[in-house]
Order: sequence, then C-alpha cells, then structure tokens
Amino acid sequence: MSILTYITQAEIRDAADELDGKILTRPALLVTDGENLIYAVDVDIGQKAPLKNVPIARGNFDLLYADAGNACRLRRSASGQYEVVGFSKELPGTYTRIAVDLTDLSLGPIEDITISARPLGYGELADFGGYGMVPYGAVAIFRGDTLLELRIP
Amino acid sequence: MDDAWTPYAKDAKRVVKVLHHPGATPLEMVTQTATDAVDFSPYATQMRQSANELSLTLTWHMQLYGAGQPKAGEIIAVQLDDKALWWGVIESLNDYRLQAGARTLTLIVRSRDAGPFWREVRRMTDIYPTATPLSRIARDIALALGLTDAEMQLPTSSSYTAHSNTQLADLPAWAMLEQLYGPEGRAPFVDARGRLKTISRDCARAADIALTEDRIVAVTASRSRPSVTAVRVKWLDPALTRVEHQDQSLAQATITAGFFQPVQKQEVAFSDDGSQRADNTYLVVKQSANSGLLPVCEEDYEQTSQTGGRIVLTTARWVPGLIGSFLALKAAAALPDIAPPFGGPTAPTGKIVYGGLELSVLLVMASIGTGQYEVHGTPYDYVNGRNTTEAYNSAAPAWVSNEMEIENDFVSSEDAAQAYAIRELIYNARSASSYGVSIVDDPRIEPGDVLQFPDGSHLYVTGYSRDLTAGAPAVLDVDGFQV
Repeated sequence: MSILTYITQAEIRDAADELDGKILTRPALLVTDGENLIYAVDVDIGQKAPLKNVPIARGNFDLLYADAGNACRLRRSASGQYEVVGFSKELPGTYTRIAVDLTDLSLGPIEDITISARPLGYGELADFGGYGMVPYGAVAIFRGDTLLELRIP
Repeated sequence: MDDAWTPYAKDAKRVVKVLHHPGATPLEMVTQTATDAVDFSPYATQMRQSANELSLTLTWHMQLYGAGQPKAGEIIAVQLDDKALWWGVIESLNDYRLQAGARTLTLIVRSRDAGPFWREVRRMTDIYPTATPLSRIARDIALALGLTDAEMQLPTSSSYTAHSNTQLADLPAWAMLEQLYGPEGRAPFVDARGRLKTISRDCARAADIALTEDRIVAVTASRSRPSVTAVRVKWLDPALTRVEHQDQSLAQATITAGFFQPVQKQEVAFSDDGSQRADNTYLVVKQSANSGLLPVCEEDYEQTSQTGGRIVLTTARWVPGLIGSFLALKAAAALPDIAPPFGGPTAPTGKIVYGGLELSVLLVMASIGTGQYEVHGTPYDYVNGRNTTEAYNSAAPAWVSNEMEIENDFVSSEDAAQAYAIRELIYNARSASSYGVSIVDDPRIEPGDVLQFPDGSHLYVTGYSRDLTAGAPAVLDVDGFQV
C-alpha cells in the first residue's frame, strides 16, 4: 500500500526539485497495511492552497515530532511526487493581496490570506466546538482569520 | 531626462558628426578627453541611433582599408551640432560588401552596458552587514565593472540591508543592480554619455516633458502581448519566525543518591551537541530514587539556560546525621557492662546501646536509591519567513489570468512590498499595449521619462530611435506605453 501526493497546481513553478514549506498538521499515521507505516502531513508551500497528505521520509524521528507551523523541506521526484525530507531554515510567511483598479489606479482593501496552523488553546477549544467535542491537542488551520479545518488528534 | 539639451525646432537642420576612436577608453569618452578621434562623417551613408544601439553604414573607396578600418571593441561616437550625443562600443561588423568602385560595411555599435561583461558574467559581491546602504553596494558593483565615480550618477539610496550577512552571488552585474533598485521603483540605465544612473519605473508620477500639438508628427498604437493581471513579490522577512516541535523527551539521566553525598547535581543538555533550545521544560521521573525501602532524597529540576538544565537530588536531612551516629557508636563502645553486685546475669548495657546505634547506622547506609529521570519540553528554533505580497487587477476575469512573480530580498517591510507589487503591476499591465509617437527631435528624452500629450494623456518612454542619415528630417521616434 502506498500513497502519492501529486502536484496538480499549475503554479508550482519551474518544476522545482526542492521547496520550503510550512507544516500545517501534526504528523499522523495515514495508512498502514500492517507492514508499511506511512506518516503524512499537510504542507503550506506559499500558494493559495496547501498540499495535502504529503508523506514524511522514513526514519526521521525528529520529523515525526514536528509541530504545526514548523519549517520543512520538500523534495519532488521526477514524476511529481513530493515528500518531506527534513527541516528547513525558511518557510512561507505572510501572504497579502491588494486589489488595484488599473483604470484609475485606485487601491482596494488589503486582504490577508496567510495559511497558518497552530494547536488550539483551552479557550479556543470552546470557541471551535466545545469541550469534549474538540479535544486538547486539536490543530486548527486558518486562512487569514478564517478557520479552514480542525485536525483532531 | 537629459537637461543638457534643448529640443530642436520643427524642420531644423541637425549637423551630425560620426567619430571613430580606435584607442580611447570609456572614461575618456565620459570626460570628453579623448584625442584620437577620426572623422567618419564623410563615409556615413546610413545611420540610426537608439538609446542603446547605433547602426552605421559606411561607404568608402580606399580610405578605410587596413589600419583605418574600425574593429570590434573600438569606440564610435556621435556628435550633434558639435556636442557629444552618444557613444558606444563596436559589437560587430555585420555586412561587408565589395562592389565596383565602392565598398560598404555596416557596424552595430552598442552602449557599454550591452556586452557580456555587464549582462552575462556572473559575479559575487562582498558580504555586507545589516544597515548597509544599498547605494553603497551598487557603487561597489559599479567599481567592480571598472567604472570610476566620474562614470556614475547613482542616486543615494534610502534603503538599507535588512538582513545580516547580505551577499549577492552568481548574478550578472546588471541583475544585481536591478535587484538593488527594484524595491525603490528604479532600474539601472546607462545614458547616452555612458554614465551609469537609474531611471524611475513609477508610471503614475508627473510628466517630465509636455509636448505641444505642433511637435507631434504621428502616433501609433498596438497591443503586443497579454497584459499582466497580478504581480507577486516574494521577500524574506527580516523578522524571524519561531517554530516549535511537539512536547518530547529532551534528555535522560540516571542518578544515585544516598548517605555518601548531601546533594547530587547533574547538568543535562537538550541535545547531544548542546545546541537545541527548548521551552516549558519539566522533569519526568521514570523511576524515583525514593522507590526503595526508605525515602532518601528530594528530586528537583530547573532550566538553567536555553539549551540545558540541572537535576538536583537533595539527600534527606537525617542522613547527614550518620557521622554523629558513627561518633556515638564509638562512644557507646566504651560503655561498661553492668554486673549485679549480688549475682545474676550481667546486664550488657554497652552492647545494647552499641547494637541500637549500629542498627541505625546500617539502616542509614542502606538508604541508597538510584533514580531514572527524563527532561521533557518543547524544542524551538527561529527561521526566516518568505512573505508573499500580491497586487492584482481587480477587473481582470479569471480566464485572462497572467501572473508574474518577483523574488527580491531587499524588500524591508510589508509596506515596501505592497508599493513594489502595485508599481510593477501597473508598469507591466500598461506596457503590454505599446505606443509609438514620432515627434520633432528632442535630445532631452531618454527611457524612463514620462511625456504628456496635449490631450492630457501620458506616455512612459521605453525607448527611442532617430535617423541621423544626412538629410533625414529631425524626427525622434519614441516607443513606450500609455500611463
């Protein structure tokens, strides 16, 4: 059994062999058939949408303990599959957008579409579902201030 | 705009001179001290000059044979009314014809920045600390190109390096200058006199030259390529971002405590090499030193630095009394046995007291415990964030999307990135539709200028060319885009 994360976004530019990313979810055992254990994470690579379920390279103990928000390095195979191979010194930071009207050169509002992820605090557990429904250790993924999804451990 | 010139009047006659400088240096051309000029004007039968190129056709009988013939690498200068207009370096001799009675050759002469030395040879700069003015780096690059201060008109930059250890590497000099001046909305440019300066890419600024109706000969327009709909600027955030790992075991220790030492201290590091930093650290007792028959110590932990802590086992207070017990044992050994004066068994008082003391000593000495401890916590580090700032055309439908990406680490803040992205979006979106205008010759005009038409519209100049062939009308063909 195996999983592959294919890059379907055309904006993966220059067919880069390696990318810096930001881990959005705590590594989780994604699939197993009893023999093969595959841990995977969601990764923000600085585009408008994150990569989902990117496998983690085997035998990297530290990577399995990476928390949401950590900087990671992804390597792409010739056939377009990514895997997380290590930590990085750089990660996607903020992402802001400004609308420009090219007719009169007026500017629209500044929009924050930064993808971020962090474990929720006790107070937020109540805000995002209530105690018991959302256990401690849940990781929330946001775009700007908007909650995209909750990852329950 | 070159203020050294004044515009020509309509139908004015221009006196054009072409000079060949077989041995002059660029510095001599800039300072106008070259003395080796050979006048080629009598042989020039066709000549067209633009901001960075001159196409020159020479026709001669016998005069330009041998040593008198221009060669690649030599300098050709153009004078207009005995005033230096433009000079460049011969790149190629690309059309040589021998015909009955006459010979012709065509030279392509380019401005000094057009060669591989400026545009293709990859270089490395020195390393610069934080807060180095970007103009200082630009000057060093220009010096590395062999320029002197007389050949530079670089503006003083208001920007500084935001990162420690800034070094430009594996880039041609021209690309380095573009990187340095891009966030300020400027681009490198070598003017007609061979001086390195910068031009503005700001299309929204006031016009440099206003054209009156009588100076316009013709206007043409065309759409040359799809318009850019979004510009993304990617820049390295000078502020570092903290990243964490999950709570985990950072260090292990096995410590034995007992009567032999009042306090046991063991330093622990959060990684083998002692470099890992961690927060919220705490002691996890896997097996307590007190898990034997008697509790022997208190177990404590404190973090002493970002990279390590100390486990302290303090032996119970009564244990140091062991020394007193030893002394009492010695004293008890001197107690005499008491024999009843009227017979009966002897009372071994000393033995009893001695035995009691000996028992207490042995119990204390048996109070030794070995504990296994782990220090847990949250390892952390600091990394650079690569921020993205995007300016997009709000009126462009999705199906005409044409995005452009710029990476520049000399952007120092979000505000600067927004200004950069907006400026480049306007420039690149507008420049997709090119405009051409023929006007009465005006040697002041150079790329980067903004011209204003009588109807109030503006044109950003990207290039120009003029026909300098003898007898050609004094007309300047300007290329650009409407802003």
